[in-house]
Amino acid sequence: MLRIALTRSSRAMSVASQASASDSETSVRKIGKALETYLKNSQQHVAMMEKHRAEFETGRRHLAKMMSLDIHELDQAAIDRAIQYLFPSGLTDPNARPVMRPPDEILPKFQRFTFDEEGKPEGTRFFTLNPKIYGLLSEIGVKTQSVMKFYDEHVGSRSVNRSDLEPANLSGSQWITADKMKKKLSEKFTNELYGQVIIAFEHLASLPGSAIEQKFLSEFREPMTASTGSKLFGPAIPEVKVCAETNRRYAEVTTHCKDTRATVKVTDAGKGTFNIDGLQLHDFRHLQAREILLAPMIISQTLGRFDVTATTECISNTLPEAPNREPFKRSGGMSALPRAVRHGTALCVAALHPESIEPLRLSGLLTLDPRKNERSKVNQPGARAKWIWKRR
Amino acid sequence: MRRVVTSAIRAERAFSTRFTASLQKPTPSTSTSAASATPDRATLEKGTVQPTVLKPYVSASLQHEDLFNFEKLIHVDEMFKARLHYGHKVGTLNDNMKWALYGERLGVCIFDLDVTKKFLVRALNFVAHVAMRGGMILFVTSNRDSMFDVEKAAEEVGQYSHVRKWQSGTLTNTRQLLGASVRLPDAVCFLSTLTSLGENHPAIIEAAKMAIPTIGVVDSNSDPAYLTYLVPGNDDTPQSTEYLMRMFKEAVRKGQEERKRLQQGK
Repeated sequence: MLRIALTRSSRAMSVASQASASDSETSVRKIGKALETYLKNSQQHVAMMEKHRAEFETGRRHLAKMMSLDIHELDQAAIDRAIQYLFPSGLTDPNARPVMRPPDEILPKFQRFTFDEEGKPEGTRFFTLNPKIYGLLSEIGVKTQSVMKFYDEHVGSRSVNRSDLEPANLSGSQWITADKMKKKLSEKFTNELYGQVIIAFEHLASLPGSAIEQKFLSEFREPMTASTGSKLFGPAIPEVKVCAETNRRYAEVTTHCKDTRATVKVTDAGKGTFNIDGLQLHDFRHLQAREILLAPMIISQTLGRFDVTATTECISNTLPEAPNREPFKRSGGMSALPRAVRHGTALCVAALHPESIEPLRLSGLLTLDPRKNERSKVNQPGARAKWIWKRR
Repeated sequence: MRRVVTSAIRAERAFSTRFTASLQKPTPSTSTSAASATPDRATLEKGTVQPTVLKPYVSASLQHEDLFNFEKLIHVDEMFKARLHYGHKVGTLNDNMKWALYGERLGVCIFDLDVTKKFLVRALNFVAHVAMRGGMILFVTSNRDSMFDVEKAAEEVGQYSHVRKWQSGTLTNTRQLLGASVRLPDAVCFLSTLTSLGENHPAIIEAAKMAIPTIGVVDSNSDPAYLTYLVPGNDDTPQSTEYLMRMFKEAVRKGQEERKRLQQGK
């Protein structure tokens, strides 16, 4: 009794609120309230962004003055270097370090919706918060039902093609990745939802008779080769350029091995000469070094065709730490320097002679060797070595 | 508490005796011009506790029990054919749903379709009124068999649907979830109030928190708490959902047509 009376009174309350809204003018004002707030917020956001952009520009000018640079020279990379210099930070997480970036990149974006004139949001699935992806899920569900119905109706009859009653042919392709689907639907969603969509797609594609939806399915498939294109570890194969003076093709790349950085330039239609910091091939006395240097040409069977010019430097000398320290005299050794040059040469040869990309890749010459000298530890003579233990 | 409620009931009774006499058959066209006077401050304050005192100030179209004549549209035999009378097993009966039952047959609860009709007319009347005032109606279900039909029906009449996982805060926390405050639905219509786990749909509480009136199709095992308009009946069968959706669609259409007519009349 008590509950019924309460619901009745609450019902009357809703009636009363309806009534106050029923006067035409007030109702328009009431309905427009959410829209009004939205527009106000939108304008506020635009104003705030304007302010931050102006502040950023002022800050950039001040920074240029502090670093005694011209304002035009101060691009984003220069700003990052300056901030790193002015606010040195030892924080491990790069996101925690001080930054100075344009406000459009850093500040949260303002979500824009489309409304009609009464402030009603667009789209029947608006309140699911992910209207596009749920719309796709529903589309798949409806199509699944229709495929099942189609198969049940036509399974024994000869009125349709036999091929229409087969599952869809999806060989040689795969479902598009989550990122591509996000771009395609222009909506963000969780991985969980992506998984649901893929499960729904797989189920639809597995049904006999899904061949009639082949076109719909292939919209969300991509060729397998496109995505399995091997990605090299380390620097990519450089672009081929043409020298203006000699009219010869060349390629240039920078790479490193251990502490040695090498900038290698390989020129086509040469005589097989080497020039590594002014040294020729026969200046390397160790047989190992010569073998290493010649390896890319041996594998690509182009001995005597390319000229190799390389300059090397010690990476530790270029690092900002301890700027007053005496620079190291050392450069790469018997193995590291030729290996740095070899990696650069192999990349350039791959650029100039594309037929040899696969043999070079399989022999591992296009892959960067990321190993580094391990740092020595405090209270130890080396990286792993310990002082000899001695009873006092 | 009980004193307030009884006084509310008394006020309502007094009102109904006073107004049934003076209520001359209102037509939809008089809906905007009926509110005679604005209530004074004392009445408004009283109305916050006892809303029925505001009823005399409400327009005539809202006084009418069945303005859009749904009584004629709904037939008990159609509801019977749509299997609306089937409840669940007797053991699952919710105590608060006993009032809507006719009895029990072979261990299954059977709804009294006369009661269902009365409540369905009330709910449809409300839906049509909301649509007439340009309101947004959100159709919610968690039933997997009928979710596509509900979505399709809602789309056909230009209303909203939610048949997926309910993200908590969809109604209460739109500012955080959507990045901006948006206009919330003016009514939420539940085609099934229980989730697949047999729990109450989380949207019921959220709508109640935001003071959004709700319409709920409640089966014999459902909990009718926090729902404004109840429609006792079967919510699991595709046929019954299809019938109810057809009725709700009809109600929205009638309201929209009335709205169009009023706007053109101005």
